[in-house]
Amino acid sequence: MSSKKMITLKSLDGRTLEVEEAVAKKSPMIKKMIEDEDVMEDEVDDEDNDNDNVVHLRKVTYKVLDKVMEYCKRHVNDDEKVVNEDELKAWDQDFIVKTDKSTLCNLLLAAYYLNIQSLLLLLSKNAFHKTGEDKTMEDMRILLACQQ
Amino acid sequence: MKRGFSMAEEGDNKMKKLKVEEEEEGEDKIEQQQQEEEVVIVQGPGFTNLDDNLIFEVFKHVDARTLGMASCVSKQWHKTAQDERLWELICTRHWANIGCGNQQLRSVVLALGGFRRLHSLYIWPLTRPSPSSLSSLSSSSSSSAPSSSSSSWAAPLKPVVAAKPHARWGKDEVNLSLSLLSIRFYEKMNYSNRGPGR
Repeated sequence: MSSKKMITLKSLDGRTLEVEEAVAKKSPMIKKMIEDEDVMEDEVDDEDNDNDNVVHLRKVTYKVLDKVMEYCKRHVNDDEKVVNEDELKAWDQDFIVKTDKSTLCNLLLAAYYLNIQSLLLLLSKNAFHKTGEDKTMEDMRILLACQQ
Repeated sequence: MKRGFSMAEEGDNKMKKLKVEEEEEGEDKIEQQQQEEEVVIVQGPGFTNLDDNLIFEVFKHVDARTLGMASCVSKQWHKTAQDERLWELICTRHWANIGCGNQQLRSVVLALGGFRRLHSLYIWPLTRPSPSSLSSLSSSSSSSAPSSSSSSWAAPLKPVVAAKPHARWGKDEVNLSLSLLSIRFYEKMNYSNRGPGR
């Protein structure tokens, strides 16, 4: 019915991504940034002024930001009780599997930076798989690669 | 710091071997990865160092073996993986009913040598009941510990554990492992007191 307020997120490489406010607010960090901007706005400024709704995320690239928002979009209704747990879990696993390793690494860092607890939890759990010795070493290399 | 650590030592050797393998393979792979990931890394200049807290967060969800391996990867990982809180999580994960408060347990175990030691000595060997590892445990504990009490403890444990390797530990098993830890602690204490002609 009412049009949802859109927030523009600006990534490190300058590209912007538009998302609904509720989706962006999954990240407490973004939420704070939005709310601080609102507080600083004068009464005079009208709400249609798009410039005030741009959030600069200087540590996240567009590719990673896109993935993060994809996750947030799917989980935007987590607080309500209409959640189908199994379906959500399956989607989460699929999300992890679809993402390539280097992006997963950057995704972990982004989730940490943006302080999205549920995404951080999901990624942490999947950082080290229990499917055998070789797999574990492989996964450790992912995190190591982040360090190098 | 000599040894009831014999089990941990075996584990360490295993880890070191794996690490060497990893390094050899890793040389080629890391170069490859770096070429692929150069683009990514260039785009994210702030991500050259993993935060300690982030590593800690990830380690919270890891099993004991992986945590052990992780401590061999780098200095930063080693420092983070030694954290007692992580090992406390690992130890207490499968304890259904501890029989006392968490805070109490924590203070007792930390006083007696810590969760990491508890795990490596008394929990890890019991959750991996391959006959060879159990026999090596009893032989190594009898060689390392001066008194015979620990080896006599290890023997009756064998049949119990072989039956159900991954069962959730009840109060009895928890008490047993804690008792063993305190026995070891007091053994060490008495041994050092025995020296100057008591």
